[in-house]
Amino acid sequence: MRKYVASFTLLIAVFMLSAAAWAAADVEIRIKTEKEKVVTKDGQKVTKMVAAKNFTPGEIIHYTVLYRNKGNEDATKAVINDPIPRGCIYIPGSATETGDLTFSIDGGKTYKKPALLTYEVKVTGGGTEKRTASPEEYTNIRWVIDRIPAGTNGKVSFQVKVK
Amino acid sequence: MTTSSKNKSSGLFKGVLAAMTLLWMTALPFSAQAVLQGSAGNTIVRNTITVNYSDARGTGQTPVTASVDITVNTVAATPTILSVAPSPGSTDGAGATQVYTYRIRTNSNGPGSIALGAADGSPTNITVSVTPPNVAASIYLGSTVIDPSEAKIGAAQTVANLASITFAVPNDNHAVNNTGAAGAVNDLMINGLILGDLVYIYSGAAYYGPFTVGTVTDPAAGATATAAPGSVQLINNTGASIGPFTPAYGWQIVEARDVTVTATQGVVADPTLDASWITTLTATMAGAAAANTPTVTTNAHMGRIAITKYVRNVTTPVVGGGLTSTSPLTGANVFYTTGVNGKPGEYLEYLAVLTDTGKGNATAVYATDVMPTYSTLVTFPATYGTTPGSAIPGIFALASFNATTAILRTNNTGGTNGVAHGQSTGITAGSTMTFNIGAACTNVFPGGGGTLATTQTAYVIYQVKID
Repeated sequence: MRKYVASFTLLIAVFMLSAAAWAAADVEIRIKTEKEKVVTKDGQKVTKMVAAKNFTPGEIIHYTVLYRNKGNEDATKAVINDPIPRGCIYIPGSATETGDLTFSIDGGKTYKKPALLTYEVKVTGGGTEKRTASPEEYTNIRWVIDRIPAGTNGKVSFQVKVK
Repeated sequence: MTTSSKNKSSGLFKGVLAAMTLLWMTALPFSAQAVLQGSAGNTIVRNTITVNYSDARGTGQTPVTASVDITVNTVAATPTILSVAPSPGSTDGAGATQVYTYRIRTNSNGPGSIALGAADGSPTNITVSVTPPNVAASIYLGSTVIDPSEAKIGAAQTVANLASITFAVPNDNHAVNNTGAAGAVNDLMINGLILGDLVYIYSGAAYYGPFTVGTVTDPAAGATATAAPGSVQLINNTGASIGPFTPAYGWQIVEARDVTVTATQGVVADPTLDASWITTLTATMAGAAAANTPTVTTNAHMGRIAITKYVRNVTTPVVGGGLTSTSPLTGANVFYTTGVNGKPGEYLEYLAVLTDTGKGNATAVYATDVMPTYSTLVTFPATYGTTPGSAIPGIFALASFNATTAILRTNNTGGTNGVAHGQSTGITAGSTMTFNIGAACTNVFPGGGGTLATTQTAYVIYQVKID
């Protein structure tokens, strides 16, 4: 009888170890690009979002980053880093206020809130002057999300203007 | 959890945000020039996103990435006509042609076809030619921009004569070659630009060039965070240095090409008056708001020969009537258009005066005259030359043009190039005399006629004996 109990205990332990080994966070992402399109519906002009892959200079690209934790364990400290695409300008206020949203003006080396994104320039007569970066100087967007529970999904979005 | 739910804002906040965004976009200095400055057509805008994360125990996991490409559209723009030379043109004679050379430069952000057409109109004292102006149906011009990866951005550049400068340009995804057909990886063409093309760099405020395109690279876009740029070498063949200029991202590199328009003259209604018509070239890029329609005026100057024939009695001078004339060939002797008579055996001297009364050159000028009845052409009259010689073939006429006298013999052995040549089929009544007269005339009959410029006059005299 004691032999059976020992075997059963060992089996439970192996099972628990295996379960621990199988538990994992598994995040996947995909990106959606859309633009606004004015259509006539019931005699009224309405604006709707349509999927798009071609844009004219001056148009706004609506990027949506769809993420999903398909694992069976929570993902933590998720950092979504999105360089502003070359040839585009960030539309101020367009990024979703998800988690901790910050921006970079140095290619992703440092991130700050927009009001704190400053740099110094030399001025006539010597000395320097501190200036707040304009949205066209933003190089990266970053969202830091503390936790993505297992089996859940979410999205963040932002807009840029094609130069 | 759906984190996007956290983004829900009040309607008021969204309204304010939208208004601020609109204000910001309106204030951008480049917004009005967005079509011209910025992204090139066919550019791949690649967005690569990375997610770093940890598991529940804080252990870092393998980052995940995703990319999406969008393509920038080519925006049609009204092309620029740089020059037309010569302007205004001038021609003479119905059916004459005038060739104008136009340099057409694209203003689009990408490659595209520019349709061409030309038409004549606004005629003054002239009919519009039945032959319409001739111009190529279309030209295909390339265009790209300086890529943001270009290292020379922000640094002043001067390109010496025969030197070159190379710029990184966006990958065109091999959308087109230099004629609008599909391109291919490494086809040495990028956004319609190819070796030998004429291009300008456009800053948005000034043009630099022209340059001649040298080496072009057109790599595959690849799978890196940004699509691999191509490059365009620009060679300065202008004979002078170009610059300095400080390149920036988005400066355009636009192609220009010379095209010729050949206009054909209609028929001048009154050669004694000025004539002109206007040729309009139309250059259109499909989809552009407007066409460029430069015009050029062609002034037409056509010659017109007026001829008056006079006579005098050499043997017994008679005062005639009508018009009178003297000639450089016969000093003070007066000729008349009417009222001159004579008796058998007397000598009459005829004078033909040819004048260009038109506004332009009269070319291929020749005159014919049939011997009057009851008369015989006089050869070697004593007054037509001091050099004795055989009467056959004899000197039968003198001509004067441009203050030079030519002595004409019946067998076409006399005459002077550029003044006059003459011959006669005989000396009896009904014989035909022919004269080539004017600048550049020769002794070729037919076909050797000369040129009289406007207001120029030529004279021919010959004598007959009344039978």
